[in-house]
Amino acid sequence: MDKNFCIGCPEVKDMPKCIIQNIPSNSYIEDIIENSELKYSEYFICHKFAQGFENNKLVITPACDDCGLCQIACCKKTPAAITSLFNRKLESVLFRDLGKASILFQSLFPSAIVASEVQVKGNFRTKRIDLVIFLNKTAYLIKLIKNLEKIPFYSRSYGEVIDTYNKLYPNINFTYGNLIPTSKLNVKLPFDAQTYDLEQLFIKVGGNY
Amino acid sequence: MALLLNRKYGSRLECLYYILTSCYKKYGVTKEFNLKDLKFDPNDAYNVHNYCNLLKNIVGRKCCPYLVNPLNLSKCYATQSVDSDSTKSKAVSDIAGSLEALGFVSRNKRKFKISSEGEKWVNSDFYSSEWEAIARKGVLSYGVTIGFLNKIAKLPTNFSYSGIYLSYPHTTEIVKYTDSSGNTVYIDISTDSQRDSNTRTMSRLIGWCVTVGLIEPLDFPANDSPLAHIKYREFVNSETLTVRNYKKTDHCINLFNSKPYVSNPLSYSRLHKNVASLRENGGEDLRNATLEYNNNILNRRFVFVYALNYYSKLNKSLDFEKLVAAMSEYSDEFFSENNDPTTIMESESDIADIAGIPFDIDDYGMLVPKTTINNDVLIEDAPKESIELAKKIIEEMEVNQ
Repeated sequence: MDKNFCIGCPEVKDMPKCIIQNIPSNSYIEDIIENSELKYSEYFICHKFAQGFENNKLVITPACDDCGLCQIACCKKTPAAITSLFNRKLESVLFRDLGKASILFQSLFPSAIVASEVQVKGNFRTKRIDLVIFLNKTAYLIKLIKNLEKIPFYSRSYGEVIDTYNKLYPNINFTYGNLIPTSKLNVKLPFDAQTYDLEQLFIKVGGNY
Repeated sequence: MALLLNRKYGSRLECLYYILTSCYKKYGVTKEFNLKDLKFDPNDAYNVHNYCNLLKNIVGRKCCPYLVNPLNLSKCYATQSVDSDSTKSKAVSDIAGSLEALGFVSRNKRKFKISSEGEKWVNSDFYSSEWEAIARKGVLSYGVTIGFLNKIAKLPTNFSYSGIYLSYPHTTEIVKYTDSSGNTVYIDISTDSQRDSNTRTMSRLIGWCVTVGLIEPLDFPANDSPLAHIKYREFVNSETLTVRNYKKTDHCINLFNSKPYVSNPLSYSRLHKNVASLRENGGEDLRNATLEYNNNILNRRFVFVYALNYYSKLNKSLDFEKLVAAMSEYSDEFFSENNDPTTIMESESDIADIAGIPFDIDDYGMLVPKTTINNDVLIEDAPKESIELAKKIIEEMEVNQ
């Protein structure tokens, strides 16, 4: 990762998007689909808190572990070759912190509504969807999963959610997918599973190289 | 009314100290407070951020370093805030449970009050030996800690805690159950804890025991303070405890040289997990079948611990065979059909560890308790019938001496 990528944000008054972003919190899927006002909370981009902001420029401290999320979140990034910034460190950050996944996909798809831990109706209690990306009348319901053996359980659970919401919103296309680590892409599974690594999911949602 | 703590929120004693300090400033030792009052409130002039020395300055903002998102509404990892999502309320329950387990607060139904030990702790200086001594007394007053120390007493001075199980006992107990559609099925009811729950309990106890100088992590760089909580401050306050190997200190090695008194053992209702919220594989039928036998499970664990403590107070040992024989006379109160009482009770005897009254077995097969526990706490929430039943069982054992 190029730690000197920042060209400065003299126009930013508080904190730039590569340091702090507002992401939806405690959202309900109904609010996302109906474009209702969502509640937002501030979120640090860097999981190592290895950032400073001096003279309107991002300063990266030695604690940085090169996950690259700040570079992807940069408001002045060059969209070309964005997938070259995807790496294992970034993956592990996302699997540890769903908020970071929300930041990543919001940065990749600025016109989408992206939220993590989204609340949906369940059988007995409110369920939560790890990540929802709502773009062009399609709601991608994404489970971030490292233990592939558990996919059937979540597939059933997310499937039930999709059945429920298909009835409520017949004009919306609901799509389920599992975001898995790239290292597990070659694992053969004894069941059908919609599995994608970061790059594949990016393309599935409509991203271009 | 101590419970089996299995959440991470209260695992750092330093956090608990700052939370209790904030609470003490508001309520002293006379006023009662409830769980909600422990939560972080941005509008409260005495909120924990005013006393917490663990806050980190991140790009100019003072934040709790243990929150995944230090900027969100939770503000304090351990208690979460009044603005947090209701699903995070288990955090504040764990904090209150932790303070109660340490004897720093007392509970009266849903109300809490700071105890005199809690007051002493708050008024002690964090960097003093007094702070550590009060904390150690608190940690050793919790029954589950005693169970842990008993488990490691059997291990060499340098030990690994991998594989130690310190949770509810597993009994293989298959019962006949009729489901909501009228189908009869056989179900192995759920009496034990899940592996992740045990891991969380262990990690909590390790953290507490290191803080108060009962064990020391091996191969972890520490400073040269004579006080364990300062020496291993970085270790116990880290995000996760990654060390598996530890060394017992003299405090730990000498613990069972005399018979400790355990003031905060598990109470009756805490001798089994909350079955109503069971969400294991097997779902509704497993939950309902286990619920049907919940009273039996609680009763037999309670009677076992009660009897063990009864004999401990008399400096006597417990005759396991006689106990099971007496309990078998009231089989419906304790056991399910077609399950052998002796086998069930052999498994259930593991409850003694987490209840805070571990035992040795002597050459005659008698159970020799290694502690005595606070009977008032044990029976605190027990139904009268269960206490009467326990007394009856002991009477029958005495008659058959």
